[in-house]
Amino acid sequence: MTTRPKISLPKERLTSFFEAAYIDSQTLQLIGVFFVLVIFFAAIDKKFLSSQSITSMGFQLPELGILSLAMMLTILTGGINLSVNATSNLAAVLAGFFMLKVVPPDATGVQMVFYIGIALLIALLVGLITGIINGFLIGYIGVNPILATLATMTFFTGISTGLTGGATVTGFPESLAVIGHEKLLGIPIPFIIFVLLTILTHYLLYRTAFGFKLRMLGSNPVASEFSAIENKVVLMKTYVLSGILSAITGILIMSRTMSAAIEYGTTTYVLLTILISVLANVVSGFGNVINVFISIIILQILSTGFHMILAGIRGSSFFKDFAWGVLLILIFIVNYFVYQRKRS
Amino acid sequence: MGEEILRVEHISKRFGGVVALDDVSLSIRKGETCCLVGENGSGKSTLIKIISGVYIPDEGDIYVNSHHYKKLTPIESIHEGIQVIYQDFSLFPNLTVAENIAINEQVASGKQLVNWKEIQDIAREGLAKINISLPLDAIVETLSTADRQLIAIAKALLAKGRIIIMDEPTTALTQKEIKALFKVINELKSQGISILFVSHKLSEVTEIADRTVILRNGKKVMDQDAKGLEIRTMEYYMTGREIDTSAITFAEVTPVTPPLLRVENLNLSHGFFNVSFELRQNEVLGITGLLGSGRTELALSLFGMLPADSGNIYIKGNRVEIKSPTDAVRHGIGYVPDDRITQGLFLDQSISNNIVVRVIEGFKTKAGLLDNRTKSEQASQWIRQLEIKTPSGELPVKSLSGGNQQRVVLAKWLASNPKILILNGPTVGVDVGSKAEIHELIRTLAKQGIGILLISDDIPELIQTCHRILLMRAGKIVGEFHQGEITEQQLYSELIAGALAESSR
Repeated sequence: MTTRPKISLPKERLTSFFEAAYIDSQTLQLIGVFFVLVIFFAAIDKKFLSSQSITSMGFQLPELGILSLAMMLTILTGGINLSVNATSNLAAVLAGFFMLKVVPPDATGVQMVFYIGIALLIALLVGLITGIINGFLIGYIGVNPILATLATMTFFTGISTGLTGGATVTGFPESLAVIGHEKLLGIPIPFIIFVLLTILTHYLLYRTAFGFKLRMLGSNPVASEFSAIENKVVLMKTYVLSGILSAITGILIMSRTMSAAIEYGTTTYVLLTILISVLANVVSGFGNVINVFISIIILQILSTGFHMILAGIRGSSFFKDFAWGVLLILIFIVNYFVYQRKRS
Repeated sequence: MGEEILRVEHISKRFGGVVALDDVSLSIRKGETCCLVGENGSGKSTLIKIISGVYIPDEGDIYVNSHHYKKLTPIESIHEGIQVIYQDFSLFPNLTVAENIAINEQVASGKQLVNWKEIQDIAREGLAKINISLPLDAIVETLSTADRQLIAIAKALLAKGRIIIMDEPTTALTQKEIKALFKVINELKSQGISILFVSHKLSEVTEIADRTVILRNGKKVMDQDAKGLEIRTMEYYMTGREIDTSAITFAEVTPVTPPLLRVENLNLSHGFFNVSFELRQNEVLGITGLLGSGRTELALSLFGMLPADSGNIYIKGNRVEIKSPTDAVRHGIGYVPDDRITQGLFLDQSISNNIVVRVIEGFKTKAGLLDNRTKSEQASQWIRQLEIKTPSGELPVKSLSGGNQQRVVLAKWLASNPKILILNGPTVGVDVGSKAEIHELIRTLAKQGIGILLISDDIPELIQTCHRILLMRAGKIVGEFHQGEITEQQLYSELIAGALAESSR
């Protein structure tokens, strides 16, 4: 006779499912906010849930999304990367220059793919080098991450400005637009790239030895040094990854706008990536990639939703900043009360 | 001894399902030094926090200066003259001595402008109350722990403190500084101020206490005049069992050559000079000395944190270079630091993560991904093996008591299978019961073949675990004592002789 396997209680099964799926209380809170917002905007205007509106969000949010992943990695180590957006723009400018100066105007389709491939590699290489510079300053010299990346932010923007003279670079080959404008199986390509990078980042953080060390270092850099973790190597790798993710964002921006410019995004983007990390409760040593993903979607919904409602009203594009601010404050207040209740 | 100043009656406090305090009563008289003793988790901190108004008791009454309270708020507690000096002293490290002492009064006066002369006067008055002089313009973070503590005491007195609660005040002090602190405490007593001295260092308790109260598992198990109270009796009440030191067995030291570790003329400027010694397999070698004797610097050099300037290190006869912790680990050297909280543990991370941090590379599958199941299984195995008391390995390590936290640090290193383990103050801040168990663990590890360097100034600890003890003074090794050839008393006088030599220089 065989004994029946013990069936665990639904609640326990739910808990273990949540743990396995990396769902925490913050995730549930964010999902709640997500549904409230979707219902709110859909009730006001049916167009909000139209495939056109959703598709347009799918094209817009990956840029900020991937940049947020770049920011998140550095915040997890107890640092920050203020140069993410400057890196994106520098990568786009250099790749753009290559396409303008090197690609012959009569290149055939196959040649064009080859040249664009090289241009993208150049962008990624820019991400790698900027990452090495940040990693060296922070990991090896020991400069405070805020100061180091503030300096490199200015430095990278300076290079872009010097090269472009401040002007917008345009006139790229038509085929480049595929990345930023086409869909695969009905899903915008930038969104597919964003989802893939989100999953990769999640695996990197929670399923690799490097990700483990990164989180431990963020929790207590002194203890990690006393545990023979090579802090400087971990920091170097983190900032290099952050640089490469920033460069990928640069490629998406370049492909969507078919231009490269120093003023794209600028400090607004940097502040937004920090805001997303706060919303997703990313702190030194602890952070959930899923929460970052949902936070980005929430910000996009707010932005699109208010844009839709207030279309035509003067100054409406500034209202989304207001809404983001209000949301952030609300989240803080809710967290405060949750914390108070936990304490008592 | 004066009239009763503070009395708590039948206090109980629960946190969820855990009973932190169970029907505890306590009273303190004017000018009395009452020592509150207990292992970690016995309820000492909860009781302090109830008296200082941080926690609200579930049941019981509090009487201060004959005023009756069901619960105190922190403000009421301060108004009644209760002042707590926490382990971190709650000072502003970037401000001067004078500013730190005067800040409460300056803030309370509601003045908008700063009167620097007044600040100096207040500070001088505060320090005069304990007969101490400190440079008023010195920045607090440049001062020693002992001096910072005196500042905290002066501040508490200025705030009209009549009952001063000191939470583990001697943890980071040298012997000499402890003596100075006790002088200050006696001075306060003569001024009619009552002290509640919280500690688990029993030798100090016998020295300073008028009365001793012992808590165990949230209950008061002893409350009596401290006169004639023996350490063994207190240990018994604290742990509920006798700690038997007669049945200790030491590992057989393997006399093979070359030795496991040989250090030859090692030098570190401002650290230690011409240090040479050998450590054999199965051996526990004690290194003792006062704070500043170079013992910690020596440990850090062998672990690669402060690489030595000159000299040679041989492991099993082969000369090795140790320039970083990575080098040390490659040669099989592990290091359990004295500062467990900042150097040893990732407090917010789970117990499991803390245990596997050294060996995380070993959980890679063929695909390069971590096998999280094997990882948590191995962590659970260490939790069982070292008897770490926790309901789950996924809880943050900060949820553990001092003794259990130390076992996590030990597990972290044992998981990486070291040949040489350097233990720096392995039982600092650990309660008596856990201490005996950690000592037993050290002896067991030696029997399993690990060579152990034990750095400590805890005399009984050295006597009960070491085969040999090296004494360091001013960066040099000045003595070597063998197991069974020296008593606690003799070792103590050797150690203190150094202090006298240093202070008379």
